[in-house]
Amino acid sequence: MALRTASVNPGAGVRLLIMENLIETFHIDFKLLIAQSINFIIVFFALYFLIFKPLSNVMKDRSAKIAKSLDDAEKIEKELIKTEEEYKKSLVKVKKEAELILAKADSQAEENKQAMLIKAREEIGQIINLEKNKMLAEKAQTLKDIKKETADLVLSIVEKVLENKLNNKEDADLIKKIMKK
Amino acid sequence: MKITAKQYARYLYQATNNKEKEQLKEIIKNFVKILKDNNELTKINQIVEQFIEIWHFEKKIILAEIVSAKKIGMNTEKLLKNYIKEINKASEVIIEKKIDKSLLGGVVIKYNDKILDGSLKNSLKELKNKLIN
Repeated sequence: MALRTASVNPGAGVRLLIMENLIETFHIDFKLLIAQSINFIIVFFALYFLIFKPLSNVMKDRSAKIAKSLDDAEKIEKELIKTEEEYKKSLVKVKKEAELILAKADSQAEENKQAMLIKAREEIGQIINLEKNKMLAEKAQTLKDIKKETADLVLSIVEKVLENKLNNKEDADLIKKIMKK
Repeated sequence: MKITAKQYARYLYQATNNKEKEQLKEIIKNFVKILKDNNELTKINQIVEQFIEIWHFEKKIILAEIVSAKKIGMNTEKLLKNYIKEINKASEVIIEKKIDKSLLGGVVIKYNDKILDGSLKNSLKELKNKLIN
């Protein structure tokens, strides 16, 4: 058959010869080759369905998980950054509020201090006035007592003198004077 | 209606006023009889007191108590009587004298509801008040 093909088309005949030479050189057996190919295909499919595909699925899942984890990590990082920014903002806000509260507390404390000072001054003034009045009253009372004592003394002396010195005639004259009044 | 001692006294005064001694006896007798009939003889003391008061008031007689530190002489007594008479426009003044040495001098005259204190004790008291105040 090869010689026939070579007689029809000389180029094809050469190629056929070369092929035949190669087959002979490498001891190629087509039947065996086909059988091996079938074997290969069977093994290939078996491996493909039993190992490669599940493995591929596992790998895909794993890749997806990793990608998801990476996404999540990125998201978490973003959230973290956002949270940190918010925290900083909040910190600033809180600081401002704290400053405001402190300022307000200071002002309130100052007001209270002033009010207490005024009240204390008023109370001191009242106490001073009270003590002053008390002292004046005591002074007046002492003066009154002294006057009373002096008057009592003078009058007791006068009484003693009158008791001994006033005679009937003088008494009668006194009565006359009283009636004239 | 019950008659008070004052009303009896007023009635007795009106009955006895300007009457002669002989008439008075009869009037008083009748008055006592009326009291007896009215069963009010127990009021006799009150009636007499009220009668004296009315009598003194109507006749302008003043009963005065004179308290002095020393015994008052006749002249002073007369002066005092005239003084009381003048200031009250009284017809007569009856004096009751008392001695109170604590007055020191001068005199205290008490009559009706009045007290005229002209004693040295009172003068000294006034002086003392002036000295203190």
